[in-house]
Order: sequence, then C-alpha cells, then structure tokens
Amino acid sequence: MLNRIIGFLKRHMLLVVYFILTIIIIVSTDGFFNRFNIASILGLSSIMGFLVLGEAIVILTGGIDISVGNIASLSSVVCAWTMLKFNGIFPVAVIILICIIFSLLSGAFMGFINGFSIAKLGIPPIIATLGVFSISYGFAEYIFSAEPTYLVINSFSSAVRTKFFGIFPLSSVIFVIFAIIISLILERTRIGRHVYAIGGSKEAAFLSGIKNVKILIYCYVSSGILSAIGGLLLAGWIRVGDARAASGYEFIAITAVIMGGISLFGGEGNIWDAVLGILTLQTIRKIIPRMQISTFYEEGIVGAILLIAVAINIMNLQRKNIKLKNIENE
Amino acid sequence: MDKKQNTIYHKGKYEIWDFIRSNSHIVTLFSLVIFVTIFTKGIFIRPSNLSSVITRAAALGMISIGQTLVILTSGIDLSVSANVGLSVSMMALFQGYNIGPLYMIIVGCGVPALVGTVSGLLCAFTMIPPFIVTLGMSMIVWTTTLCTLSGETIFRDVRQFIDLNIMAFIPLPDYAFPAIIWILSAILLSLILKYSRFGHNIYALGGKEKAAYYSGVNVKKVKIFVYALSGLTSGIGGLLYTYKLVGINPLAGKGFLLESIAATIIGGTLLSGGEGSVFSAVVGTLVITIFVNFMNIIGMNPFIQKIIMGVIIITFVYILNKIRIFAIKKQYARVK
Repeated sequence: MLNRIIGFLKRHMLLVVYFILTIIIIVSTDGFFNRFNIASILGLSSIMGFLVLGEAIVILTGGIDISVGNIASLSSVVCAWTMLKFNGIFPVAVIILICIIFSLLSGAFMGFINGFSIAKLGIPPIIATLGVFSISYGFAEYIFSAEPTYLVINSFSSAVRTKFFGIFPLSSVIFVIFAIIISLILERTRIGRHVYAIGGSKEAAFLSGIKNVKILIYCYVSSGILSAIGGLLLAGWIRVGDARAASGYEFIAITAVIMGGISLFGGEGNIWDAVLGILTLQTIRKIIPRMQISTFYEEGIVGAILLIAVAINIMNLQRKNIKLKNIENE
Repeated sequence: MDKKQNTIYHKGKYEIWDFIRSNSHIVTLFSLVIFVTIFTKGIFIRPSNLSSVITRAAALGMISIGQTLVILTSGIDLSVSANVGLSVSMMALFQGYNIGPLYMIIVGCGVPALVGTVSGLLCAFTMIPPFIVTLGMSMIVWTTTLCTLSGETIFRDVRQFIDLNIMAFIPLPDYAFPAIIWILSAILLSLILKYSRFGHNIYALGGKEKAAYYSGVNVKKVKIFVYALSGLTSGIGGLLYTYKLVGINPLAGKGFLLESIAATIIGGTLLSGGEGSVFSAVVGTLVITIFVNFMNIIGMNPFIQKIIMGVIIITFVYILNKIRIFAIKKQYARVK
C-alpha cells in the first residue's frame, strides 16, 4: 500500500509541490486563501485551463501550438462583435447562442488552418502556428481596429461570473466537465489512443494503419475550439472583447503543460497533471503582487519556471531511457 | 558540391527548374521589384522612398542574419525581438551615466550577446529543444526590459554612436550608415560561413547533428557560438533600429521575430537546417521590407498586413518545400 502511494506521488510530483506551496502560503501570509482569492484563482485558471487542454492535446501529438492565446483573443473579439451586431434584433438567449457558435467557428477555422498546414502541407508546427498567431491577431485587431469593446449584453458576463457556493465560478464548473470528457476521450477511445500513438512515433503510427493526417487535423481543430471557449469565458469574465486580452497566455499554457509532466516530445502524460500545472502556476502568479514584487517580474518568473520544468522533464526522460537500456542488457 | 552535381547530370531539359530552385529568392526579389514599381506607378523607386526602405531593411537584415545562422544549425531563435528591446533599453539605461559612445555600443551589443551565450549554453549542455530555451529566455529578457524602463516609452536620444562620426570618412549620404554596417557584416559572415572551419561546422551540424559529432565537430562549441552571434546581431539590429528614432519603446520591436523568420524562409534557408546562406537572408530581408513598403504605399490596413504576413510565411514554406522535392525527384530520375 505504502509503495503504491509513494509510486503515485513519484509519478505526480506536482501534487507534492502544490501541497508544499499551499502550506508555505498559508503559514507565511495571513488569509491568502480567502473566498475571493480562491474564486479568482479558480476562475482564471479554469479560463486558461481551456487553453492548457488544447495545448496539451497538441503537445501529446509531438507538436506545439503557439497560437492558442491569440485564437482566444480573436474569439473574445468575435463575441463582442456578434453582440453588438445582433443586439436588439433577437432575444438575448438567441444572441448568446449565436455568439457562442460564431466564436467557436472562428476558433475551429484557425485550428483548421493550423492542422491543415501541419498535417497536409508538412510545415513544422512552430512555423505554422506562428503564422496563424499573426493571422488571428490581425483578424482580431481588424474587427474593432484594435480597440477593446464592451460586451453589450450584461447577462452573459454576469452568467459567467456566477459563483456556486461562493467559490466555484461557472467557468470552473464548465472546465471540469470538459476536462473529464477530454480525459475520457484520450484514455478510453480509439481516437485518444491514436493521439498517443502519433506522439510516440509518427512513422510507427502511420505504418500500423493510423490515419495521421486526419487525427492531427482533429487535434489542432479541437485545440482551436478549446481556446475559443477559453476566449469566450475570458470575455465574459472581464466584460470586454480585446485583441490583446489573451496575448501571452500561450506561454503560460505551454509552461503549465510541461510542468504537468507531459513530455515535450509527445506521447506521454496525463491531462489532469496539466490541469494541476495551471492551478499551481495561477497560484504563483496570484501570489506575486501579494509578496510586493512588481508584476513586471511575472513573465520572467513564468519563463524561468518553464526552463526548469523542461529540464526536469528531460532528466526524467533520460533516466527512463537508461532504465530501459539496463532492462535490455539484462 | 551541389553545383558540381548539376553540371554532371545536366541534360538541358530541366535547366529552368534548376535555376529557379537554386535562385528562388533572387527570382522572387526581381519579380517583386518590377511588380511593385509598376503597381505604385513609380512611387516606389523615388529616392526618398528607397532610402527609407534601406534604413528599415538594415535593422531587420542584421537580425535575420543571426536568425539564419541559428536556423542553419536546425535550431530557431525566438528571443531576437526581446534582444532588440534589451539592447535599446540597456542603452537608455546607461545613457544617463555619460559613458561615451564607444562604451554605449559595447553595452548595446554586448548584453544581448551575453543573453545569446546563455541560451547557447542551455542548448548545448541540456537537451532542452532550442525553441523552448529561447522562448524562456525571451520571457526573462522582456521582464528585464520592462523593469529597466518601467514599461514606458522614453524620449531620450540614445544614439551616441552618431558622435563617432563614421560617416565623415565615407562619401555616401547619411542614411546609408545602417545599410553599410549591415552589408559589411553580411559579407564578413558569409565569408566565415564559406571559408572557415566554423562555417563548415555550422552546415555539418544542420545536416545531421549525430554525424557531425561522430566526425569530430565540437557540437557544443558551435552551438554556443551560433546563439551568441545571434544575440550579437540582434543587439546591432537594435542599434540600427534606433538610428532614425528619438522616442523609443522597446516593445515596438516585437514584430522583428516574425519578420526575421519570414526573411530567412523566403531566402530559401531550410527550416530543418543545413541549407542556405547569409546572402539569401539579405535577399529575403529585402523582399519582406519591399513588400511591407508596398502595402504601406497602397494604403493597406495595418491589421490586414499582419494577416497577410502570416499567410506569406505558411505559403512560402510550402512552396519552397514543393520546389525542393520536385527538383530532388528530377535529379534522381536523371541519375537513373
């Protein structure tokens, strides 16, 4: 029993890290974990969590997606635009439905460009997503000439900001549902297995009859859709559609995914660890102003965490390889 | 080596294809210049416009030379625009201490070179992929930049290097200074790439890292040098970038990353490394700058320009890949 617990903790080191972090925070600050802070951490980390889910799926296939942040911004702008356009023409519920559909379509379209150019045209993931990074940013700025725009319909943002039991925002509830669905898809269905297989080795997956192109396009499209959902919720959360609302979130998403122990080279890792990763990262980001450190340092701290996380990730990989070699020798 | 093979297996039929394949960037540049000149009814070739194109191209060109070197080793440097910002903000910081123009240049180029060295060390001694290393470094560097200037646009003249009055010795107009620096360093680096052992090692590393290692190339040293050089060139790029500016916002250099990668790709340097040259980066830079200039002349919406830039990157990578694969297939057919 003890061995199993230790093994579990070894596999999910981040759980221990987060536990220790929480204890340090509780001891060193008085009342950091009050109701408002917890709600804020849960709210923002679940919004970013959608980007993390998308990023995690892509990284599991051995790719990388640096366009998630801008796709989220685009979807928030599209949401604001739709509300402004249809305001007064339809009843509120219909407008919100149209809004959601349009935003998700914009995300799916950008994701499709990513997937098509990576899987079909054979362009390296960094370059293709960098191109889409620019494209979606351009679209998002073009719609309102780069000006932040208020969401006209108030009930949407108040719905997003509703808190259950005072600490669980609506976005976190939706996020948990999505995370459960995606982890089930990845672990229980054929498509999920194929995603892991492609991440392990594209060649081997192709030779064993997996349709690489189709699966890769699915992955990038779902990454786009998930980031679009994140953008929608973000727009509701801050009540503004802005072309820069989520810029820079892609780095946070990548950092969270790698902190969660998902291998950068694909084919290995667990969605829930990535979720824990974004929770940890968001707690750290929330603490920075509390410790009277300038928020300018925030990006640098996240960058340093990214480098350290990747280094640990790779060290683990090397250790595993050595173990495999030893087994082979025996 | 490549040319030799072509002459051996030439049968005349695919000459045009071979020419386009090996000189695709030059073909693109010439057709673009003709197209732009006709479309803008001659506004493009006015001296006032050309001078602004050249000054703009120099900063970008300097940066894309470094980017090309990194991409030749099959890496990528995502920290170039951060390094430009760092160079500018460091110069602004030290401007208050009155340290004189020469030290100013050393600070402006040396600090980014130091950052480049650190990312080179990380790339060489850990197995972290280059794009993650440079991504992390760029985040750290942006933080430094924001902290030095408190995130504001500053209205200070950091161009103390003008005091050196280099242009007094050269019989050319004043605006040619960045271009001269750019062309000189391009020539120097292409000579290094072509004739020195270091240059050959860069190509070897890009071809296949393991093969290079087993044939005795000091892989780690080459990597460190390449990333340091990229930092240095982006530092110089920052210097040239400030040549025409008095108010400086380091964040304004953010567009350099995408443009430098685009310039490298359009020049025909392979993203998988091992093929390409500094000269092609120069041509690619000219193509990008002229195209942006063209879009500005016809008054295109700046936000749509960003969309077009993204589309260009994706399509160019695709087209160049296609041309290359086609040419290789033809070559194999001829050999048989």
